[in-house]
Amino acid sequence: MDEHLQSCPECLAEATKLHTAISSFAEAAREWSRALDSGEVRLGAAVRRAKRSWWRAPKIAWGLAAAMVVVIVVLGSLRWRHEVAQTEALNSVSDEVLMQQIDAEVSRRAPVAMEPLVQAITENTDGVSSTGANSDIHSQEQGETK
Amino acid sequence: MATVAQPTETAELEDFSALVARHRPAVFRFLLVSLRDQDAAETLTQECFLKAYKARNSFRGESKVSTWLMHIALNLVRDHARNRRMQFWKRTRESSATYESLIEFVPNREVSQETALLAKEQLRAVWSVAESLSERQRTVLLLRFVEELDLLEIAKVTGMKEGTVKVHLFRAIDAIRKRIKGMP
Repeated sequence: MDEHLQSCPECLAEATKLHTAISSFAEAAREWSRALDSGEVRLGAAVRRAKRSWWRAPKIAWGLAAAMVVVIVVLGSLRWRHEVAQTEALNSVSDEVLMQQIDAEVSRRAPVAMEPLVQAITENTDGVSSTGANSDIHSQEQGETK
Repeated sequence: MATVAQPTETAELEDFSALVARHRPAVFRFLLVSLRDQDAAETLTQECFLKAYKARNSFRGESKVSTWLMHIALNLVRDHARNRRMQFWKRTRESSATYESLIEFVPNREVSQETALLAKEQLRAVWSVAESLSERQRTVLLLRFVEELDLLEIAKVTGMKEGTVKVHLFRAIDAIRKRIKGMP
């Protein structure tokens, strides 16, 4: 390209013109900047603010972390209490059900296997006092046991 | 090629006030020429150094401090442009006065009044081309000729590949060439 520029005056003129234009532009930009630059370094205050906020940030973070720990502990203990209360309630309900089952078993007139027989006897002895029938069955049961 | 941390580059960050004093003119110049708005350039220069100060621990010395600062400045320019696009009425109202003041800074080479006028016209033409370029082309042009960075440094600042930088630079120069071709 340089060789061509040396041998072609038109291109050389154009290249020179372009170079001058761009150089002038760059130089003017630098001069303009120098003239407008206040040169003020107001960074001191900003840096101090940044330093403070940098220093403050961990404090805020620690505060938030502590608050979160407190919230987690409180929520955890509330949940734990709720669970204990629920378990106790379930236990008392199951105790009650068990007691009812025991009561039912104990208060049976006859063992479960004998229930149909008792029912048949009851049906056959219509008119006979239930006390008598029961006492017959009772004596029958006793005889079987012996 | 693996990048090795350069202690000299990271050491420069230790005296931050000295770093500001050393690099402020270039950062302000790049912001001013990119935005053509003195107030915005002042504000963003402060912002640039504040960001650099906050991020100084993450700087690993893989590039020059000046390249790193220019990268921050360029991001600020892009953010600023994005915000201004939202406020388009503001764009037309301001900056033409400061832009016109630049034309007055035509290099004084002790030439005749006529030549000085021609130089002003040429400068105005180059500026108008620079304004009409895409953001990438303008950035590459400014970094190459005003900041005098080499292509590799421009690639680092802009995050573009070196080849892409070359293409943008060629298009910017070609636009200027076409614009001034008919001028005396």
